[in-house]
Amino acid sequence: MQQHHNNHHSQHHQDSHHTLNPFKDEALRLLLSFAVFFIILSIVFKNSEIIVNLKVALGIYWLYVLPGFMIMLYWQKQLRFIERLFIGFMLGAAIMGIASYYLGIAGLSINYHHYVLPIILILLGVFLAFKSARNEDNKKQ
Amino acid sequence: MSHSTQTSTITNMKIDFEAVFLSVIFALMLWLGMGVMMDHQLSHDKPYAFLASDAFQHEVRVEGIKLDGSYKYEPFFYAGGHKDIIGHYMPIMYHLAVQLSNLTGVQTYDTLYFIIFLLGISSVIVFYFVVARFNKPIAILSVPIALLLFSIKGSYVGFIFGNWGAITGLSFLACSFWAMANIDLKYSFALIGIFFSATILGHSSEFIYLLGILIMYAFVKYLSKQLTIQKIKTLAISFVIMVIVSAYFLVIFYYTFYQIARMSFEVITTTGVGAILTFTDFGWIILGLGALGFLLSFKFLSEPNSEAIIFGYAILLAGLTNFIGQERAFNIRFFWPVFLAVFFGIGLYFILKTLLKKVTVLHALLLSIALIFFIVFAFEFTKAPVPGIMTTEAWQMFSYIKDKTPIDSRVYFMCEENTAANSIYGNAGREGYFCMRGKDHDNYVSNKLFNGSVPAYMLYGAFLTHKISLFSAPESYEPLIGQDNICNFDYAVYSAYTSSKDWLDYNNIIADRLTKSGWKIEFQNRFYAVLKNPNKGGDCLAAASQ
Repeated sequence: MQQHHNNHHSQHHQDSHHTLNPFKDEALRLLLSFAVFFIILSIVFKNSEIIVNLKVALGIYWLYVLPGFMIMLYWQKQLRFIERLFIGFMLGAAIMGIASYYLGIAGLSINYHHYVLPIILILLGVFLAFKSARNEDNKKQ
Repeated sequence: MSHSTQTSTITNMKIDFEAVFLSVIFALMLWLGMGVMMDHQLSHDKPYAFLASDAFQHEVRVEGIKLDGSYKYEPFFYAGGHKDIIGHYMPIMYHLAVQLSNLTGVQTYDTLYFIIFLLGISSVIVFYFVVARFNKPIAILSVPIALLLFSIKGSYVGFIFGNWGAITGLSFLACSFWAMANIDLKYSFALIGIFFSATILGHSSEFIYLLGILIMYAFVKYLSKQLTIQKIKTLAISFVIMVIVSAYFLVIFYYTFYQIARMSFEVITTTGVGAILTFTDFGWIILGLGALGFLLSFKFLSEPNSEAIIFGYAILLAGLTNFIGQERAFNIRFFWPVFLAVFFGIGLYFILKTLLKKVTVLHALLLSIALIFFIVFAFEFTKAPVPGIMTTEAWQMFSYIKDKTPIDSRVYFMCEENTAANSIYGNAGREGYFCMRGKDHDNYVSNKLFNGSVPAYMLYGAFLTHKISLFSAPESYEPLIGQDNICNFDYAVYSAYTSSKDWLDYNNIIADRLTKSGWKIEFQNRFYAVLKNPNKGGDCLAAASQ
């Protein structure tokens, strides 16, 4: 009855052995997920111009999915891609919403937040991912 | 890396049927919930599918935040003209909508609606992962029930009548549940702290419930000897993060919404507006299986990874707190199809297990697909676009006022159909006053008397608080509610958009008097006319009315 979390972990560990470059795998999956999301938007909002659907899909990914997913890379070994994708989206939305609120109050107009904030969060995510990877390497040694 | 290896890498990627299934659920929910209603368009030329004052409240506020560049203060046109009213509504959804609007060029009234649905639907998938930690086949069997979010009136009303703060709060509540279920992850306190903060800043009343749910979670974990020191430490750090991140807003919340929260313990059975979700809305089959699952679930409470069951029980109880005077219980019920679905899944799983002995993911997927068909055809979903109450003529009128009148203009809106959804008047982007029909003024109407006096309600959000301090009582302006003289307004907006013949006749009397007194018609369309006052503050009417 009980689903053990270890099953996920060992499966993911096995999958990693089959790919030579797990980050490349992640990038491909992310690209595929974007394509799926864009296709879904194009179907659901079929009466919208395709460029509008594309802009919104790109906007969602740039603002929330990418920043959140990059941060969730820290837990790449423990959580599956699909879980990190959705949690990453919600995490990205949470951080972007909260940060934007306070930055606006502090005086930085919201009209700049969609440029500045995602870059900061993506870099933070890359830093955390490398830190996690280095910790793993140190443990193996 | 050789080309063959790359090719091999790509072809070695297995099809993740779970991901495909979740994508289908996501797409179907977006179609059923938003796609049909919005005429399958993401971008519209006016606010589309706005059906209630609450929805317009958010639409007006988000546009104001975009114009102001921050939410330090309420938009002046939604604050009785005051420019120093402290921004007091929970801010997250607005900022997400403005960011998306600024980046894509889609209007905020569309991006806000889209963000709400995106958060709500994504939270369904997030909670799926919480259930999947317990048992994946049960999770797969449960998730189709979430489709009822967009069928049961008591749930859908949250999306279409503008309870968007609650939807945002509930969505991040689901994320908080996920983070608590994954408390054993390294540095999980960061995730828990962020999602707790997002719940507060999404809709603070959901956080009040979260506190109660946290106590229940800790109690159950303690009884099942799973409440370790590490978990307590993680939750404590999460709380500290939450307090630091939310402190500024929590002070505002305390001095505004918290002050008007009802503290009585009377039973509440209605919200006064909108439908309420009840058990029978699920239909007897789903309800029966859910009840079976509810009873069977008790024995799994003590197992590790049973958080979905704990949270299911907690949300059920939270949704019944209307019986102890908590009106917000009806907001919690919006997401009963999400959080209580685990009981349905457990009930169905046990029936399957008696028939099949072993229930695999494949069995669950196949049955889940059948369930989806059952739900889509057995329950009612929106079948046609819902344009909402913003007519093209009203939007033209609002756009004229916003673009062509001085920003400090004071505008009076005559009585009409939209008075019931009065936040709509914020679309004029000016200090606005609307007519609220009342007994006193009805006398004027029925006797067809107009002497310049008009019933004028100031357009503003929930509060006019302009000073909040930890060391003194908050200070608020008084709203203007009552009679005013039409000569005190820069513009009057005539409306023929009313089903009441008395009020139409009365509006015609006013408009006729104004035009004869020199008021100029600056804009006109089928339903509306915008008249400019030639002598604001002075005698703007030609002769006394009799």
